[in-house]
Amino acid sequence: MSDQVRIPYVAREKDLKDLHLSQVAPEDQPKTALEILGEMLKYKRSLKLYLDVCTHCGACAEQCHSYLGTKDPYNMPVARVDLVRRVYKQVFAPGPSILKSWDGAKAIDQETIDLWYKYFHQCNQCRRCAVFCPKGIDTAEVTIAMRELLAHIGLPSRFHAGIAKNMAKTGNNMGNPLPAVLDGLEFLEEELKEETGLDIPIPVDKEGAEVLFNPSSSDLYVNTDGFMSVAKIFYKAGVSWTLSSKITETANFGLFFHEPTMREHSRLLVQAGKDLGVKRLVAGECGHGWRTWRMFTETINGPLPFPVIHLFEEVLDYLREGRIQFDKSKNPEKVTYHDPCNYARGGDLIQQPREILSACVQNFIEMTPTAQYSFCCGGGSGILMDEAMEIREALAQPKAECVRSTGAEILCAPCAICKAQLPDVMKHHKVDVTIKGLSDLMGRALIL
Amino acid sequence: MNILFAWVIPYIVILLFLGGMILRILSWLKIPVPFKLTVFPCPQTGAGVAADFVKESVGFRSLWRGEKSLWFMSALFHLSLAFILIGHFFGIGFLGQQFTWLGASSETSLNLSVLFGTYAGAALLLGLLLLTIRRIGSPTMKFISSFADYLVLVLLLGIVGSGMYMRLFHEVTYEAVQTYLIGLLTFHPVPFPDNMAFIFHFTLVQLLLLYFPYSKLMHSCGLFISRWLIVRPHERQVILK
Amino acid sequence: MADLNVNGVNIPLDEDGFLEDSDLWNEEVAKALALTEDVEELTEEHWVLINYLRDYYQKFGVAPMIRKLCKETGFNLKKVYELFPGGPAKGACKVAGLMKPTGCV
Repeated sequence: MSDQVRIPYVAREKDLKDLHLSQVAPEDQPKTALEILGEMLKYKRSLKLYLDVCTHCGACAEQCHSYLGTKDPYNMPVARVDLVRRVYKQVFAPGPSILKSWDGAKAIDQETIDLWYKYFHQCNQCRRCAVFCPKGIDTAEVTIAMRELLAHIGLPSRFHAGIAKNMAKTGNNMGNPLPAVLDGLEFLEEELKEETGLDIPIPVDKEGAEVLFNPSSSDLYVNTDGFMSVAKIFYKAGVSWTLSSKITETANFGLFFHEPTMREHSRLLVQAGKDLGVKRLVAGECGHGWRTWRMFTETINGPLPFPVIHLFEEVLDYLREGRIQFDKSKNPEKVTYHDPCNYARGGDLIQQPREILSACVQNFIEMTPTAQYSFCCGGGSGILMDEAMEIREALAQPKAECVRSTGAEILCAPCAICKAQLPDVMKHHKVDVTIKGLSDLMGRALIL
Repeated sequence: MNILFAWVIPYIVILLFLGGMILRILSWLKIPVPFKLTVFPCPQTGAGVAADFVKESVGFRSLWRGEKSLWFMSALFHLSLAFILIGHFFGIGFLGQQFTWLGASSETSLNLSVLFGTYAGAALLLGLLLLTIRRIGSPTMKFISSFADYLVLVLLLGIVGSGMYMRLFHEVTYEAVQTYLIGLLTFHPVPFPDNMAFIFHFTLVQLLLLYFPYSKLMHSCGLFISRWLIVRPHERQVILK
Repeated sequence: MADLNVNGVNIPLDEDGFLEDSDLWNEEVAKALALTEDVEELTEEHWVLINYLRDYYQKFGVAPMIRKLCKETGFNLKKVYELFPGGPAKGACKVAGLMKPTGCV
């Protein structure tokens, strides 16, 4: 990839207001960045450890899809973190200066901050490096910390800042106002009636429902087949469920660049569940949303008044109890499964989707590598900007080859970001495959 | 001069080494861990975590998942290093008689001790050479390597090289080394054994120990603390049947 | 992306080529935007789509669900891509002067 590759646009002043962030003058950025880094080193053990224990063995390099796809040496996880490590050694690491200068210590400057912005937006926070690193260094944690640092000196990406703003304003990442959401849902109910002849409801704000379902907002805009399938499944299983008008979004963008946004999003969701008095919360097809639920929400909002489970776990319950059945013949195509990073490495959701697939799909073929060794789609941590298409295509290259090798007709990718990323990049790499969520396949096979 | 190097500096070095290492470990442990960072799949119990530590520190399991050549070089180096360190303790401490506990005669025990040490030393030297070649042999390794990475290799090559030299060409007896070390430990220091290779070996070891707490060599302890972050079991509030 | 000049009026565009100010949209602006999307001529079918989008946007302030767009205009997704190679979100919405849909899309 050339040096002139387009990187995501930086946020403008007007994008920052709603996040309570502000632009720091360029001449002050290095100093402020150091202050923030110093603060983070005091409360994030992972950050300090990962900066200290790396032995530069390079085992991570050949395992990172970002390096493999872009061929840019700074995209080796070790080199990416070294961009921080060299500043850390200069200022924060213990020991005499001469030893540190041998270790590559370097004073922070504007060039370093530019490199941070460029390369920490080429890490998808997929954590594949952590699986292959002998020390268990999770570069994603460094990327999360550095994006947060960049946000606090006024340099989040425009795309992320805009989405956080939408979330604060409307309760979903797309910025769809409630009347538009309700209009869309009404339309889908009509479509369901037309398709099935049944009155399958899509309830909103139904108090006392058993389940509060939380989809990705893209399920209400473009991945509507999947969303309709969910309505059908709840209907068939006889489960009373509802959406919340306050928040129709499970994708937690704050997770990967701004902790206050992440916390607020999580709090809103739990509050919605409490207000509606539901028995449990079911998270829809969204990777980062799931990881936040599985690994962060209890820490932020716990103890929770109700369990939070994934749609697949809920559906497996119905399937095992015989409350729903699938007709495999409705999915005759060759299907392969893409493990979203935040389901597999990040969310402990490896076996469940496979159990469902083996029940609703006739011809399933595993990819190689798979499960916790699977490659990221290249869109992780919200690298979905149009302007960064060249980067996205490079990041997806290892995945494209894996999919091509399976010869599959359908690529099941049950995550909203993967669904947004994969169609364009698979087309670019000339892999002839249709991307579908697992909900889509379930809905097709469901016997109503 | 001899007094300074043989009697004063070793005490300073050991204090700085132990103190530095403990302070470094504490510097990690005193920082909180705000969120659970487990990378799945992970062990379900504490015993599982311990098993992961063993698999990683003895079996180099994560490296086995990647390039097997790196796994081989790293395992060879680290495991023979472990052998050598343990061998120094038993060999020097028991003057090569440690195998008499297993029923060997005094002479056989001494021969076995020397034999194990020689082979382990050769394996260690081989591992070190392979790792050095790997580090200087490719553009990607050059991109990520700093002076410190090369320095550690040079120090280790010097230490292992002089050790092998002593074993093969200019022997120092267990007794001579033991006498010197016991002198240090009982605060009744005696002069160095009369062997340039030994003095070189011992000095380089001290330089390494001085450098240790501020270097990537802290991965020896840090490894467990960093792995714990990603293998710690995480219980769900509700486990589905 | 450079701003548009439509009949002597400067119409500012953002970096993705979408209108900075949706209120400045009119049919001439639409034609100029279409050219930036490699659509040489706006046929009646194009206008059906554009007017639907415009209408929905006036009512709800946002682009419609893709499935609804297809149902109510009678064009399937393939046809939408034929009319606007950029697709419903990036192509048709741009020409109709809507804001670019964002999020996991």
